[in-house]
Amino acid sequence: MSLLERVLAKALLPASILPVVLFGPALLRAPEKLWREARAEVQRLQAPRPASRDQERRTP
Amino acid sequence: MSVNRALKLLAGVYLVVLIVAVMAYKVAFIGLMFSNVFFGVYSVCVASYILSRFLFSLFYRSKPDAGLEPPIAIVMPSFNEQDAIGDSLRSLLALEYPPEKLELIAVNDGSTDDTLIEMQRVAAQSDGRVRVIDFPENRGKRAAMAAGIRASVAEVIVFVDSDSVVEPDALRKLVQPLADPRVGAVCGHANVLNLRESWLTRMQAVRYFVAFRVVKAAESVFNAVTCCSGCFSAYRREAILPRMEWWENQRFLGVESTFGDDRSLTNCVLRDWRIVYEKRAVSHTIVPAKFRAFVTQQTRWKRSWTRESLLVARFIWRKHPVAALFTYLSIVLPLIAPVAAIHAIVWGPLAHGGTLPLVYLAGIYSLAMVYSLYYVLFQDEYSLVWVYGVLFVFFYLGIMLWQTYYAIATCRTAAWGTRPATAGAR
Repeated sequence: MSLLERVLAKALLPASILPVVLFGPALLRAPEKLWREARAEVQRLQAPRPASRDQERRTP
Repeated sequence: MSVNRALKLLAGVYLVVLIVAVMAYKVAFIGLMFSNVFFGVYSVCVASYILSRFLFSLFYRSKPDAGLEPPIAIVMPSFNEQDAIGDSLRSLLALEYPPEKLELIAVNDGSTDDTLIEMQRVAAQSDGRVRVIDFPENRGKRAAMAAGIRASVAEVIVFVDSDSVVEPDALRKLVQPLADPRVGAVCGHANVLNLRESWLTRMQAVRYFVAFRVVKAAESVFNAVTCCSGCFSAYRREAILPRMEWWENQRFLGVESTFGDDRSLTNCVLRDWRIVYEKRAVSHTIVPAKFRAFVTQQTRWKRSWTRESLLVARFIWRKHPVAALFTYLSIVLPLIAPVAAIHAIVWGPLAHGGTLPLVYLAGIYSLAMVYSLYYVLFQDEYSLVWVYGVLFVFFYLGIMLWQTYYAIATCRTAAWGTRPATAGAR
């Protein structure tokens, strides 16, 4: 193993944190983003639907 | 401070920070759990399960040397292992244990290569210490193990795989936990012998290390190790005998069980006895170096896992509540894992864009790093093998995860994949 390979082998351990640093901001925003989307979905499902023509006709 | 120590220190700090970060991140997702209960609960269970293995393994302690020196029979069943059997048998002859208390029994299970010749060569040089039993036809590993048990009289039976070598002091250390009369079996530690052979063997090196030093150690804390590895394990004869006939003739869904002998024998003993792990009893085993052989082995293991999980689930609740909880989780979580992967990687981008796959893959990467950092921390010398641990987790996600369903669907098959189709058909 050359000196360069030995240095690279050792540098790889601290370098393994890079993906976390790279995607860190997106990962930190993820819980809030997913929560917002889930809440919007729940609100959409709970929102009263506009009455259909059939229902309008039956309404006195 | 040497570079080696500095890297270990870095790995230790990194590991602690990573575990804390994963736990904190899970807390941030608690609100989300209520909007997607199934996957929310699954995600928390997986993280808790994995981290708890590491946590409980911290409480594991090797049993002190009790000065125990019981008569031992070492049984080594072998099929077509001409290249490895010689070294394996010689490692048994080199054991630091009184020869008069040791029976060495090599069983040739109808090999079609020169395994028998190698066995006889070592036996001839052993001053009569190695006894060879020869099956003219292949009868299966279980029959070979049973023949070894019947041919011996010792109160402790040790099984060693024919592709494993045992360290000279390992046998004495392996049997020390038997000083406790409630212990029926002890599982030794197995390292990968052919670590440098291929990328696949390096991956397995990290996997084996964590599987033994973390998973088995955690199970041992509750005296409920669920699989005594075939590589190197000791059993009390009186713990085996009551269920030996059942074990030899075990059937599953109407088909004779020809593999998974170690997990099955463990289950027989675990019902009524304690089973522990001894990390100081070290063996080294040859693992598959080629992809096809590895997949065949893993499929066989998953099939036996399917069969034996159904058995262990029936009685583990009587052992210890924590051991039972984690055994049930270890059965259920792999069944859900492929569904969760599809949910995150396929459905996630359609519903939420890239956020869900990112979170999922970050979780997988964190898990891979936890395994690999643990490997760096507890290995003597720093080496790049840990990188293969990271690769292994993604390899698992891409290939092995999906094997579970295939193994369940084909769990009635009796073929080993590496032995004749007739193996075990008595």
